[in-house]
Amino acid sequence: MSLQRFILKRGLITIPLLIGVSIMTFGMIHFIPGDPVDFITQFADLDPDVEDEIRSQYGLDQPVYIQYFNWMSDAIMLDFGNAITTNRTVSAEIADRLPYTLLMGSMAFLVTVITAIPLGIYAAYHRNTRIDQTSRVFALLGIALPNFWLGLILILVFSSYLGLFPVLPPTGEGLLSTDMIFYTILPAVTIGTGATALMMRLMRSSMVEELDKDYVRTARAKGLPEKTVIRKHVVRNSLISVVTVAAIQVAFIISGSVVVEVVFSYPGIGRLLVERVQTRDFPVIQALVLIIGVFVIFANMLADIIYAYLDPRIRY
Amino acid sequence: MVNPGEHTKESTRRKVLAAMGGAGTLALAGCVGGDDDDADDGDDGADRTGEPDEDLTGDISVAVGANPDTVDPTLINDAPSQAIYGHVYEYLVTTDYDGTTPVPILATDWERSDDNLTWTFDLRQDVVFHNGDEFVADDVAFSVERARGTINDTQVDAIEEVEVIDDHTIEMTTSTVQAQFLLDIGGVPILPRNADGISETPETDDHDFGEESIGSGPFELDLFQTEDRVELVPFDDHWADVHNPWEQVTFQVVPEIVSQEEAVRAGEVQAIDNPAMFDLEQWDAEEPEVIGTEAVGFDLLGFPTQASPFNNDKLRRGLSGLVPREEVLTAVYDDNGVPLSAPISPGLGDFYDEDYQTELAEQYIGTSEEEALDLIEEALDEEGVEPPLEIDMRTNINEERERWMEVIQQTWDETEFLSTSLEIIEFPALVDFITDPNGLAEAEDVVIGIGWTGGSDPNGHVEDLYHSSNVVPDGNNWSLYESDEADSLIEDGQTTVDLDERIDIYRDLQDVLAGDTPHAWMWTTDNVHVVRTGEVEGWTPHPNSSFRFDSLYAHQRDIIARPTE
Repeated sequence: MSLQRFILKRGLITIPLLIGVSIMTFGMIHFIPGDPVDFITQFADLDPDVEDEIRSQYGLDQPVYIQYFNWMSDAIMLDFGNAITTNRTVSAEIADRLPYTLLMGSMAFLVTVITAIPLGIYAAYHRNTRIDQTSRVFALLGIALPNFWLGLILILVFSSYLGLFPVLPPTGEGLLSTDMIFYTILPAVTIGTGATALMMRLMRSSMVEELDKDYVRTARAKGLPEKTVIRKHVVRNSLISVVTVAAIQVAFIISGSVVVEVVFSYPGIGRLLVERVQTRDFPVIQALVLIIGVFVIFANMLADIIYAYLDPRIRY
Repeated sequence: MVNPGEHTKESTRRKVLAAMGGAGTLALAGCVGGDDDDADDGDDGADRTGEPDEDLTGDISVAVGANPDTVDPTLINDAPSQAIYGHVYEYLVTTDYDGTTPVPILATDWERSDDNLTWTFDLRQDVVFHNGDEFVADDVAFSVERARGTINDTQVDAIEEVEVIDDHTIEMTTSTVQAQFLLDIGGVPILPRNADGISETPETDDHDFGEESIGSGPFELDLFQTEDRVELVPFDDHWADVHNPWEQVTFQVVPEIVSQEEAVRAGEVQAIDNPAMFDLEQWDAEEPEVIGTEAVGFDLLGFPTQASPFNNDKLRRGLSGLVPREEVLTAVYDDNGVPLSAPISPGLGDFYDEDYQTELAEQYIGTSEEEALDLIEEALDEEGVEPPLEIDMRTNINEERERWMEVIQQTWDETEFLSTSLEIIEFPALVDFITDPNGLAEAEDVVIGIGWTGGSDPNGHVEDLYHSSNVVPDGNNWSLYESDEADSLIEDGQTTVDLDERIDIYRDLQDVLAGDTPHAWMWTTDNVHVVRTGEVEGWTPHPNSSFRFDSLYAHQRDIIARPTE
């Protein structure tokens, strides 16, 4: 199967997944006991005419399958209606916040890649030495530490005691201002720590496996310099599994931003989701769950495609 | 006020959410208590503050713990939103810092008819809204109608008729005498009737209040970034001739307590409203200072009073008597609060009497562990329950509340009569449980720990919780408490306008309630802020948390915080 055919096939598998996610997301409001109008009106005692008007405004007077198609066709156009709590369009609210989460996520990913891969290589090359054991301990710590705790400790150490970073996000600064990017370092490190630890261990084990393979022995026997053996052969082959996991990590970094954003008062979609779950603002919750779901599906698809591209033997 | 028979379970639930989420709602807060003379004769608020005494200006940032997410002022029913947007929208009247005296804002004067049913308001003549519209009586009539049927319906549901006499005079007639009328109407934000995108049914309006504020308040909305910040700037055409020292006010939402504390410590904000109460000593040696005021509302334990053995008042009184109130206040709240034995809190001014609370405690719940244990033993014997009585304690996720529930659990478990378990659940889940007629009302072994903020009037502290017409799902009487005597006193309190008489009524009511103990009232904790007093002077938290930031520019009440330099 050619790569193009594989991508096409993989893309087609994604369609029922997307439909499934959208149905589950849409169904949220109908799974909750009670009348959806009550959530919209915050349980106010309304005149029946006003209630009917609201029902009609939100299309709740239509059969469920019509409601789903209407909601889905609007969602494709990124029209999720209005938020209940603020009466602003959901798209506008998410558009305000998503760039911040993407900034934090991409910085976290950057932190992950530039630390995990070299450290993994180093640990593998020095396997079973103290360096390797130390890196294992740090990796375990990185995976085990809860994000909210790590975030608070980083604030206390780097913001309060050392005064290197501000405690709160800068006010009146643009997304890509120096102040904002600088502030984002700590949340990015917090969210990236777990992923770094995971990828470092993966890189290490993958590389250890490669180092033991025959082609490495052959390369060395041919007299290739060690640097060439490692860089051109071992690392490249080891990276295949790491790169695919990295793609999936991107999705988890986005969805994992929820806790970190609360700790750092960071104005991203994670906090938006937490707050709106508390106020049961279902149009916003539906939109965010759908977006995160779609993000995870596409990240998985990307991981599969990258894997297939890097290793031509792989065709599912 | 709650209208029995019309409120559904869900509407009740929402009120609880708003009232107990640490919030004093205007609907519940409602209510007057003012001195008769003050109530009858308003005076001009602008005159009270005198001339501006200096031109010092500055910016201020405040970290707030909860998100002010309701931006349509008519629909605001939570203290975090009210505390902020109360600077943007104005009302006919408000209350002074004593919590009882009505203070004029958009009304300059008012009169009450002899039968106490009709109120005539003279309105301020020099007011314009942020959108440029001139303020007239029709705007008041419109705003009253806009509140009808909303979550804040209780502010206006007693108003039978609104008559616009002329552009600056309006008359309102209530169906029954409403002692708390001024505070009820004081919760209705006045909006320009002809503004784009608003109507008398706010639920279907499309005006973007987060984009454009249309109040007449001293501040305009400059930026609303949901779950992040609200920035206010002065409204240049505001009617008050009193210097506004703030060029910009930023309310930054910082949900994490540690982040709030570190931010004020680092000087990134000038004040925070949610410090850890159990660790206020940390500020003793530092520049930010702890500023607290007595508050309204209370924490409570709720019992299922219709189920055996909790239907036995001796058991309820004994359990209440075992609560180590003083010790909890010291350990959890660093002594920033007062113990209660009845549901009237210190922020209610003359209605609260510390000595009387002690008297009630001595009379009904005892002052020693032995007395409490005797009551419990007697009750279990009468109800034929073999000890230990198993109790399922429940509360919501809240650091301080979890701590005191654990202390109570431990205290109860130490006795031979009780065996408890403690469950911590999400706040909405707890509210669902207590407002569900099949929840706490039907439970046989559940005791819940929660808070109640009744606002600035004693009626808000008792009617919804203890009047028999408000048994769930029609109100917040979750414990199914029924007492003809209490009902009658609650109704008297609502319809009696003389302050001294009202004080006596609520005194008698406390006696009835303390005797029956449908709830165990724990304490009222202070409203505590941490403020960089080197940068801001005159910061004064209001007893009602819905008005907690009013001192930024309470020009009608002679309280204005200022930058120090």
